[in-house]
Amino acid sequence: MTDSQVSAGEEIRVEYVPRPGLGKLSIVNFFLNLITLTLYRFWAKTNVRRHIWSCVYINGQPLEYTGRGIELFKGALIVLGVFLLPFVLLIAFISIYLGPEHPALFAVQALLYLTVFVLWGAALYRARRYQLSRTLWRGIRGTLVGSSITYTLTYFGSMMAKSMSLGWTTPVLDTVLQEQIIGDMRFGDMAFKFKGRAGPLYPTYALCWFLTIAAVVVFCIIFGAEIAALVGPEVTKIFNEIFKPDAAPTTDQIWTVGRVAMVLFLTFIALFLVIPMLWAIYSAKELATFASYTSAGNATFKLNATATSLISLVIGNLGILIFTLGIARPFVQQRLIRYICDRISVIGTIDIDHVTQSMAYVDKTGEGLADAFDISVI
Amino acid sequence: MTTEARYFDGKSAREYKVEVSLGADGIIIAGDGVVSTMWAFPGLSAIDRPAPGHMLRLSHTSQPGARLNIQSDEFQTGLTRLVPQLGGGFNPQKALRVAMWIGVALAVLAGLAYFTLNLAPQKFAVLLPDKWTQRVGSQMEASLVDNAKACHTTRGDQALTAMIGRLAEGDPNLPPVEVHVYDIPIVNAFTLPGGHIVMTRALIEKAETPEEVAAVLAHEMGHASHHDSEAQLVRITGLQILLSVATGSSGGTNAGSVAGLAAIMQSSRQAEREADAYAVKTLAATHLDPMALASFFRKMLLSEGKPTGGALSKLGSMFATHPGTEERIGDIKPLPAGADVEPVLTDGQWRDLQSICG
Repeated sequence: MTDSQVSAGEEIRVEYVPRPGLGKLSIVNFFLNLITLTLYRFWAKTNVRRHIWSCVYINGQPLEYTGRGIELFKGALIVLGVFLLPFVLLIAFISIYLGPEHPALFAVQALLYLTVFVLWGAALYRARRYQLSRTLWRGIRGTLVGSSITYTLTYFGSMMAKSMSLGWTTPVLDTVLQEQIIGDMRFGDMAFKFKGRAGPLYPTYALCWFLTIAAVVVFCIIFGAEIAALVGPEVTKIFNEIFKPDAAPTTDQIWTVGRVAMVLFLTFIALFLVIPMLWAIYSAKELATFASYTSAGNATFKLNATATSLISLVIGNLGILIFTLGIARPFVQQRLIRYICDRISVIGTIDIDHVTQSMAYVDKTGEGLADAFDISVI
Repeated sequence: MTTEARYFDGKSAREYKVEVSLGADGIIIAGDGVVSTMWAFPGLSAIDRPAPGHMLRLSHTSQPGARLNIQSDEFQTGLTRLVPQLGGGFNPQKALRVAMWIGVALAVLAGLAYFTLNLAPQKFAVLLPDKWTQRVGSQMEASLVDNAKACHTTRGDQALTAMIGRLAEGDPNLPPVEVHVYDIPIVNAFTLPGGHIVMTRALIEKAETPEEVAAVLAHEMGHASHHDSEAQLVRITGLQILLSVATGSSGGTNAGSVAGLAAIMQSSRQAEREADAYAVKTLAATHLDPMALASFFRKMLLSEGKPTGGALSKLGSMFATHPGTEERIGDIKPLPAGADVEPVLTDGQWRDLQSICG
């Protein structure tokens, strides 16, 4: 092939090809985290990423992760120095100067939480930018070219608006946020584009919203019926007697209270399992829709996300985390990446040969805020 | 040995099909659109640890950004035999660098921990202005006694004041103290910052003589005089700063927990022993028998029961959390024979104090 030839571009295939070594990595990381009071976490994360990235093959060439543990460590130190420490020292000073119950203390803490909320989007954006700038394919790195301040303000505003609208602005705002971050995304000098309306998300959103309300109502009825069947109308009387000062409850009464508490507990557990499952329907719809709104070169994306596959992904991941006490977290991360790789397809072609290296400034350190806020990015 | 490979120049994403061959000193790369070049063995490094069946990815110091991806297992084996450093695995230099960073961070944390827990508290405690410790002490008192009733009767207060006055004669340097009795069913007494001393109704009931109450009070005054609880406050605050620094999160700075922790955390054995010694000295100086402290301790040892819950359950019994009570009893020596002993309260005052909670 010579430069004079006009290349029409290539079709894109994404594939996840696992390689051995992740189990050993998980165990080594776990023990080193343990003996270093988790300070090793920056290097552990880096090693896992390097492994997982190298399993993602695009058109036969794997991704490469070039980040280093020390960059994450320094990122965390910077955030500690400029953000966390001033707050912690101020809180410590106030609790000795004005007392541990003084209102000023709560004001400062509220301010801290507010700052965390305001910076949450920036943490996400900067972590994504760092990861993209450390991700190479065919020797070319990615980046985000926009401003994390713009993104974090949009993000903060959207969190407020979502809660004030009881969630109903979610599809619109998620679309706005996604448009911002995808529009800023580059592979080398090639831009990604995001174009599409939130409208098609609304029927699914409405479905999930009303199903949630219905689920809460149904569980309240079930709970009421269970209590009625267990103890009948005596229940208020029993509780009143037990919580009287100097109460000497009988064994029977204690049993009843225990059973009521148990039923309440189980109902809540059931509710908290059911609600996220309902919302998986919306998440799947949103993922698939957003993929179809995304394009690069002459190609658009297609993600075959479904509610059932998302639910089994999440339940499987929770199971892995619980049964290995978190040691196998790298496998959870692998499953997440793999889910995307297995289900994404690219329609059309991209003229990859003419993509040139990104000239964007590369951060020297990374993910400090995300580490401080404990945002679990892969 | 020659095989096909993919070459990327790091400037564009263009994929070059090249032929690579293994020379004596390096890998020779040649192909359409690529200037023929040799990557000498010493500058080579592998992106991932070579594994059979997986692509070998190489970079070279002479061409930063360029990558050479080779699929052939045979070439991979031949190359790793010639250049063992590509084999990956444990890299002592790299490991040492990481260990150094983490080691320095851990050493700094350990140093800060030692400073915060052992060196700083007592030094800072004396520096804290009285106004601050007063404020902090009364807030902690309110928080710890919860909603328990503060016990006051005119005559009971007078008896208590008389007892405090008598003990204060034994130490001209005693910082101002304020003693409050609360209607709490657990035997306990503790000292908070700013000289706030709290005694429970159960403690007064447990005592058989006013001298025993005075002995416990003298012990608490020892804590106040040594600024032990101010030191504890500094220690807990420091510990919380340290924790949030170490974990890199702000979760550990819950304001309410400062008060709770400061009270629950055991003071050191040394602080207890010093408070005992202070009590013995003060009692002797004010013509009271130090053995009253021993007899009260002994009583507590005998009835070492679990606290029965209630408002102060988070505190537990003062003696359950004080280890080595027998040893401490052993350290209390009686007055020399024939020493002058005067009762701390009259019988009437003692009855007034006993009924201070009504």
